[in-house]
Amino acid sequence: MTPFRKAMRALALRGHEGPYRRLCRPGGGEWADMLRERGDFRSLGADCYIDPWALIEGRKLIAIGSNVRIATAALFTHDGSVNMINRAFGLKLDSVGPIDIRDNVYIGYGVIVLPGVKIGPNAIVSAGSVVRSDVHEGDVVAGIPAKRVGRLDISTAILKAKNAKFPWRELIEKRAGEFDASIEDELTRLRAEYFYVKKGA
Amino acid sequence: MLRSELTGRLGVQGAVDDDTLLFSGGLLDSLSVLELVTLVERHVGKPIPPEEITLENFDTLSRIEKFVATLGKVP
Repeated sequence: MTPFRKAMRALALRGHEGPYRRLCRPGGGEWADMLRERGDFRSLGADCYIDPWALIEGRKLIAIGSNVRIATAALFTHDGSVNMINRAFGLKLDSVGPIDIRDNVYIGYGVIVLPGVKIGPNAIVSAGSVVRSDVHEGDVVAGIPAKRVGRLDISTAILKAKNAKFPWRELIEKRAGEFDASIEDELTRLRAEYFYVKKGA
Repeated sequence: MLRSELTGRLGVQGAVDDDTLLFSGGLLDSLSVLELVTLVERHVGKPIPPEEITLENFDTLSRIEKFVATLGKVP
């Protein structure tokens, strides 16, 4: 890590995360590691990816397991409408609930997770969903409100079948980790050829 | 009856025998899971518990028929 990046990260650890996020553009893994070190959440397991632009409110009421990936999503533990209600009716109410994300969960782009929800383990919340009730173990959910549209083991089998036909299969299998700059151009070329030239889609 | 519904409603192309792998063979996509489960639920007249929606029970016609038989109604 460069000295500049270390300095920006140190600033983020003290609560000033803006420069680190904007100038260093950390990936989801690096961002999650910073949040874990800073102690933002009730708990945050290993091997997590959290998009630096995810909107996560009320973090001390959020428990996150291991191998959890959160895209640019929004997680709320407080329902802000209570402040309008309080003012409208002269009340002093609270509207709050924890969020419990178990191991091996993927939360897609544009997902909204509302207070008081348990997700997983082994679940996928599809892009754009609004989660207002528990997502059960093994479920793939989608929609507004999010409902079961599949099961993770079946989705994985479908993915395996598709991958068996990809001409770049060996490149992926030999790749160390999730990204290798040295093969990225070749991967892009093979994918474009498959989908646009050879009509493999 | 189930076989003809699969071919018609889910658009399964080509010859589908008792042991053709529907999901792991790439014939059906993830969007078909819900439709297939709904088809089976209509046949048996009750909801299928999520933990029963597995490849073991749904990946071939013979597995589906075997699973449906355990629920007390044969399609």
